[in-house]
Amino acid sequence: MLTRLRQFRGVEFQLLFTVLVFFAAGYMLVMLATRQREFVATLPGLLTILWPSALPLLLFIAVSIGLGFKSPHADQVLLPLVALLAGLSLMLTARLEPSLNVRYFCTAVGGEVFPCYEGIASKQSLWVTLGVVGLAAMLFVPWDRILIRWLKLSLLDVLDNYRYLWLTIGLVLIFATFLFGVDPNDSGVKVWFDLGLFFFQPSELLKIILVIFLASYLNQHRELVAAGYRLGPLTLPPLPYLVPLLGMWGIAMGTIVFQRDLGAALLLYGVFLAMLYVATGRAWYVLAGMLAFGIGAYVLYQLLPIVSLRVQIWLDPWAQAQNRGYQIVQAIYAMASGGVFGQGLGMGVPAVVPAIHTDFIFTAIGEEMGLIGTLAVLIAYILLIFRGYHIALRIPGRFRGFEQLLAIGLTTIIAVQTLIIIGGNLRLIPLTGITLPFISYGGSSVLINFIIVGLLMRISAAAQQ
Amino acid sequence: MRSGLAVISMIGAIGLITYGIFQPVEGEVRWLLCLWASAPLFGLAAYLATRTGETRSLSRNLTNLGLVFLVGFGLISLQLLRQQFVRASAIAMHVVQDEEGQAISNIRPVLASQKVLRGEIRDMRGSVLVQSEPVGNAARRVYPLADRYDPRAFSNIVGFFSTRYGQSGLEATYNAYLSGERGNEWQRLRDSLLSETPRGNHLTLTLNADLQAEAAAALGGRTGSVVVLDPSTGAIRALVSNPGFDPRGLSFNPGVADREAENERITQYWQEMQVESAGQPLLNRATQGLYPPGSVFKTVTAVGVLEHSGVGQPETITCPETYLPDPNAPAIVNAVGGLATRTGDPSDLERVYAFSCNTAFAQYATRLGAERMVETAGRFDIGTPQRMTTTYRGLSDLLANQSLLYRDAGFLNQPRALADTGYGQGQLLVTPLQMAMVAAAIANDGIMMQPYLVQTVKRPDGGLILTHSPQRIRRTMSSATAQTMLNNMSAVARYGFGQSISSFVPGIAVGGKSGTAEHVEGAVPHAWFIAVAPLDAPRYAVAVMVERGGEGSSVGAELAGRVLAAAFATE
Repeated sequence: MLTRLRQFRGVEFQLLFTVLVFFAAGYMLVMLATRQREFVATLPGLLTILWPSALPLLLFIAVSIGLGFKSPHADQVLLPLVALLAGLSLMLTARLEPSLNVRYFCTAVGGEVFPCYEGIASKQSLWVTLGVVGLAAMLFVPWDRILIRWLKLSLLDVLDNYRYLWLTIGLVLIFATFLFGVDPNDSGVKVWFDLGLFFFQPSELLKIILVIFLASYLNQHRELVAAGYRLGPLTLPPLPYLVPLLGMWGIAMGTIVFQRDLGAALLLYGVFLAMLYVATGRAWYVLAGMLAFGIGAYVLYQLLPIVSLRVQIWLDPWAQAQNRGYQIVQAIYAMASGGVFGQGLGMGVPAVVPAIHTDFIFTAIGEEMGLIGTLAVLIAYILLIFRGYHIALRIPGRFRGFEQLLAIGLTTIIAVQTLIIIGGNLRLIPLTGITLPFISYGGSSVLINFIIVGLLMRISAAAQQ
Repeated sequence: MRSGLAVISMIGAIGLITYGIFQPVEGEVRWLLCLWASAPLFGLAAYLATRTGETRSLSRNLTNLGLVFLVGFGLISLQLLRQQFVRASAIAMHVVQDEEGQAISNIRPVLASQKVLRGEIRDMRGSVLVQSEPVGNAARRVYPLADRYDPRAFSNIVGFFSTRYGQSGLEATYNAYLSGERGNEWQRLRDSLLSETPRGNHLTLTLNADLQAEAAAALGGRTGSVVVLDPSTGAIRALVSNPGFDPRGLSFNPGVADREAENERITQYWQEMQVESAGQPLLNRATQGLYPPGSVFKTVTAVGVLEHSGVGQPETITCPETYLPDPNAPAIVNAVGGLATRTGDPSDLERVYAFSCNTAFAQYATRLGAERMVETAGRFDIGTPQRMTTTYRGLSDLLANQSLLYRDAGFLNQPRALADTGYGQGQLLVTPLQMAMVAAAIANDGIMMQPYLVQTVKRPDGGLILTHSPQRIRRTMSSATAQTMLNNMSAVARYGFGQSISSFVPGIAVGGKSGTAEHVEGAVPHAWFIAVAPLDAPRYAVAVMVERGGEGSSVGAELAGRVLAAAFATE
């Protein structure tokens, strides 16, 4: 009994409870401000509004209690941070749905007109619930026992050992998107698979697979004696580093050329360079990689209209404010109208910004919660990222280098993705369409991000034992 | 050494940021350049500050990677700081023209203004001219004044309120009060917290709505202006500018089912107002129209002569048929022949003023010289272009243009030009309001009061936000001069060119001065008249002006007489 009490994850529980209160208050505010529900000021009245929507948050608490039994020493800060961001996501989709429904209409094949984004709030609830379930599955299913029985290897060892299988799956995914990619919502990039029930974005899965492969690969070649190849006056990196450098460069450029998906290319390449640097400690590999990317991007800027268009909009969005620059200009107006304290949840007009619930959700935060809200979200991401690195550093790397690099890689995905999309929203870099982790609406993105967190938690649990 | 370098790069980065963050919205690219240039400096400073002896360990590499991300988040925070705090309001209000010439602006202020229940505009008796009524969860501007009067007679004062074309008139100048942004911040905060419809503040004007309507009716369909002031306070009792527009034509009704059609109706009305034949209904001729004043300006010259009687010699004057101030220019002639038989020869100021003798006032101006003419006109805020302000700041409630004694520098140094200015031609350009202020100054013992239209601004709960107390601009002439001028103006109405005015206000002693201003060679002249009444204690100072109206002594005097009669009748 006493050991059970000692294993109670107090910090996590308190933080999760705070998040739950934050979510409940925010969600109530949204419901009242957007007049979706009438509020009867009694406990049952409160519960009728909150009940189904608070379910994912309650699941977080259930996971936390479960962890107290299963792996009490796993990290206690990660889960509340994710719950905070996911709660914010639910709050924002619930707030944005009515505004989107009165503004954007789609025509069905039969000529019938309907709101394009009907039901996004409940769908997002479902995705977050599925995400938590997926996270729980990562943590509570005895993967190690199952896999040891079948393959004689623990989960992480399976990931480490079958690296070339992962690489193959990744490459197949890439080529499959080149061939079978569809574009369901006219965004100009064919990066979805039509799975009948829903659309799946393979690049989301690809980023995890890539990180697993790279962690394994770079760990294998970690103790490499640095001996470059000389090629005329140039010293090239040793072959084990040169090959992935060139390969990743090729993949990034191919993604841009064949899919027009600048965001995914930037993300995959950025994560790769970060992992390469951490594993080798050689800044000049990274610089050379960035230079190669820059040269490639410049060539594509000259050749591909979509790249040059994105850059032009970035440099002067006002010149085409009524058509191509519309989105970013409206986003700039929205951020500025938010000011320091924001317009208040439900009081702004975020729906004038196209894709406000996906790529531009940070703008919705900026308009309605102001500078205070945006900075708070940034802090949450910084904490999340540094917690991920903290987990990596507590692993004894000499023996478990793969896990260490894997934790770093997974965390870096979240970091790079956050920087790319917020930077694009704020006109710091050209806009590329990727999701804001945990907050943006979208099934594949939410599921994959929860799996990332599940893996991180698992690694941290293993490291503490 | 290392820490020194860290400090230097930190200072450099902070310098770049402080320079860039205050750049105006147009200088955004410069700001982005500064921001990016500061990134490596921040990174270098952080790297030097955290560097330890160990080399190339994984933890060391990870620290460096973390620093890169921290710098990234730092850049984002700085951009947020600029977009949401330092330059937030400038960006939110930024209006640009895109490549196709379309104006782009933030939609939020427009939507917000639709939601506000704007304040009422009431006349001096408290009858509501303009108000807002809730329609669904928005509001629309309605015009109760249209039930009793022609709404076009009030358009130059109340202005329009459009979600598409902005505001004009008092809706524009008092927008902050009418929308409630100023005056009841506390109430507004409470409304926004309780998400209740924000309410604006009410304006009570000095305007006599009945007189305004009567004056507009007297003007009829003619293009022109009528200004009625209370000389002792400067309160504007009527301010007509014709043609006007119907503000209902630009007021958006959010309650209609077909919003497209509603927008179309407003766009169409707006375009109708822009066509040439509409006669610029958006121009407030009474305060913005600049016209040659003709003989009404003789009033100013007469004040100059009286105030500088040493050089002016007011009582030593003749009224010859022609006067030749400059042998190289054509002679000045009177508008009517044989005037000397009426004024007598030699004459005096009263009689040359009453019979509006051009050659006499040309001589007066020549005696005074350019400097004294400039000084005298300046007393009445009729300026010279050297001051270079095109807006007249004496009136703050509505847009007004600066009246000018002449346009080209050195104009008055030509003898003929100086002489022409003396009787109101030359390059003089004045607003009807300015001439009403001249009359009012004479009627107020020489003290010119600041004209104003808004008496009080009150909160929706009745609390007073501000009230206008009469402000004097300056003493323009001595008490004695003012008395003499009242006499002269009385002579116009008793026996001079303007006698007809008396017949409209029987039993009340009036004074006035007519003007017939030539503007384009051969065109029908502008008809002017300024008047004050009653003479013993003037309650009204009037200026009327009809574009291409004809003779001031007939057309002008009649209109001024009707306006004065209406003023007394609606008291």
